Amino acid sequence: MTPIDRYLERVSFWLPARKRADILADLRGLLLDRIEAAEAATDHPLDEDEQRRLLATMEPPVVLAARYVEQRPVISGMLAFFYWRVLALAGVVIAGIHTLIFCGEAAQARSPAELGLAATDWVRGGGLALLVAFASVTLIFFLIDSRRRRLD
Amino acid sequence: LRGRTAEPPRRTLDALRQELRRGTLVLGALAVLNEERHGADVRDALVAAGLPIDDGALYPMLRRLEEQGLLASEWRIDGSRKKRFYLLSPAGSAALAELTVDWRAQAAAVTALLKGSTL
Repeated sequence: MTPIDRYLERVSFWLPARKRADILADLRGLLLDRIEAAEAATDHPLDEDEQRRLLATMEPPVVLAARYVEQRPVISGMLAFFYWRVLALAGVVIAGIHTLIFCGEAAQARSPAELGLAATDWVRGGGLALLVAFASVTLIFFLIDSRRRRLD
Repeated sequence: LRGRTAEPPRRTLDALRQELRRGTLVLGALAVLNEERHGADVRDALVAAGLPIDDGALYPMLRRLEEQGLLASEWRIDGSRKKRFYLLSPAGSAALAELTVDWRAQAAAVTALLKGSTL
């Protein structure tokens, strides 16, 4: 296995199967171009060590693969600040309400078993409410963002 | 109203330069692909014109332009191995013509504004 094969194998791991073969063929061409240019500059064929050193100047495989796989973000950058702010606010409100409920139940608990039950409810109920809040806020911002993209 | 220091922060300047270059590189690539070229040839033509671009950015850009229907490509033997050759598609030629008009209008507007600046 040549240094080029090894580099491409690492890039390949990050690429979607549908586009993999085509992108790797492109990249192999790119790397061979670089090697040919280096060979022309040094006036001798590059050995494996020299090829390895040349490949070390390339971007890390994951970065190179990411350039080919541009995915639209769920929430775009311009709305991200407000998205995280609303999410944080929802989290604080939900955690606060569930903690108050837990404190009330804990105060009325007559045995360690009842206290344990209240704590379990606090964790389960709070966790579920946080999950629902996360999904709802994300969906609402996604819809706002989609509408904005259509209007742009 | 002027800032406290004359020099803009390096990172800010780099980000602004990158933003300025992004659209320019696409227009440059479309312009040089009026004639058929392979990737390294496109890069060399851009470098010769004063628009250096990294291979890691150029090849994905060419692929994206092809996916958008602006370029057509074909693998062919060139020298000792197969290379992918790109050429403007009819839609790419139309896009280049429209973007050239936009570019000239924007360049003229900015040039007029810069004439009025202190530089």
